[in-house]
Amino acid sequence: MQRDHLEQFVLDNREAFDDAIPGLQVWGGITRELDKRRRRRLIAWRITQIAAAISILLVCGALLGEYAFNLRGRQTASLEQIAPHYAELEAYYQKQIQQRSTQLASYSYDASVERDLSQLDKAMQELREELAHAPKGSEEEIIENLIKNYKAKAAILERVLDRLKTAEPGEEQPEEEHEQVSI
Amino acid sequence: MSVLKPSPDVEYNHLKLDYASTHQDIVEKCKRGNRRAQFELYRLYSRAMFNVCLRMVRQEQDAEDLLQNSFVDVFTKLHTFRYQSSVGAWIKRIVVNNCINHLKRNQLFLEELQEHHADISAEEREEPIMELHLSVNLVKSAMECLPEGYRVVFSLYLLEGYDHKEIADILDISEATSKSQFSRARKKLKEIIQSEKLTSNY
Repeated sequence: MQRDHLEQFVLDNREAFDDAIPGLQVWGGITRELDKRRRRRLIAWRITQIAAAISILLVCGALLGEYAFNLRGRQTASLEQIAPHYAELEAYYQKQIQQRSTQLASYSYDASVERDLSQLDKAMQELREELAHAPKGSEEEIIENLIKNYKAKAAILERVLDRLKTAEPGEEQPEEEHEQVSI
Repeated sequence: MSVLKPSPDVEYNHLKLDYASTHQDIVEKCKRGNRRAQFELYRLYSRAMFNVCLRMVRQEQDAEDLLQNSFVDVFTKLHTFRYQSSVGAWIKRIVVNNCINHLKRNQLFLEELQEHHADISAEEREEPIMELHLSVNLVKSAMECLPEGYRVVFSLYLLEGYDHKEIADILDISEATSKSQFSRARKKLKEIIQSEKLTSNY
């Protein structure tokens, strides 16, 4: 199709149609606006940074606090919390051991006995620690071992006491002599 | 979008001059916020873009405000520019869109755009073949007398180099409306030129 006369004229003289020139203040306005936006963006960025820092601190603090709390909770975890029905048993054996230990303190006895006893103490300590970190389900077994250890310790003390008493028959008999511990 | 599509029978000298280069070096510096590069880009395109604004909104003050806001948009959005077109065409689209948004605040402009999409082929045959003695100033002043809708479609098609499909997209009208608006605008423009010629001759 033949181009219209008017259209052709415009296209031929296209450049002459762009003769107007914008004022110099336009560029000034552009830079002012860009600077303003840059400042706003910088402030927003700063606020974001500060907010991020605060949240990181808060999260770290919370995590640390929770960790410390758990650690303390775990350390004090005793049989009462994990297995209340064993607690009574533990208290009983602890009383027995306590009594025999005080009796034994008045006698002089073999160093090997002391070594055995301290070994038992160590094993029990390990069991307690194991109990604190034990996965669910394996607790029963550990508690049983713990009770067994109590029994063993009480029995050793009992036997040592017996032997000492028979060696020195003149010595006064302790009251709880007949209080036997069933193993 | 492409304004780099000269039809075979027309030489788009102005387009080659303004839009051939992607100015990649300058654009990349602008993306990093280099103020000198930004001024360079502004220097390259501000005049052409100011004339686009002026043709669309007529008022010099409005055109300068639109130019300023458009270049602020250009520099803040430049990081999204991926050389899918020339940077000139990309800037021009931002400018044109801002101008259209400005004009759309005027309800009359929208109404003007929507009316008449009559059969254009009949009209075109009716168009008198006038031997007009044209000058750039005459055409420019006549364009200023055109109704807003006509002027915008006429400018977008003939001076800004958009095709009717692109104009339909920009103005949110149908392609047929764009075509009929253009042909009516051209006819009206000729009438204005002729009457102005007559008045200036006397």
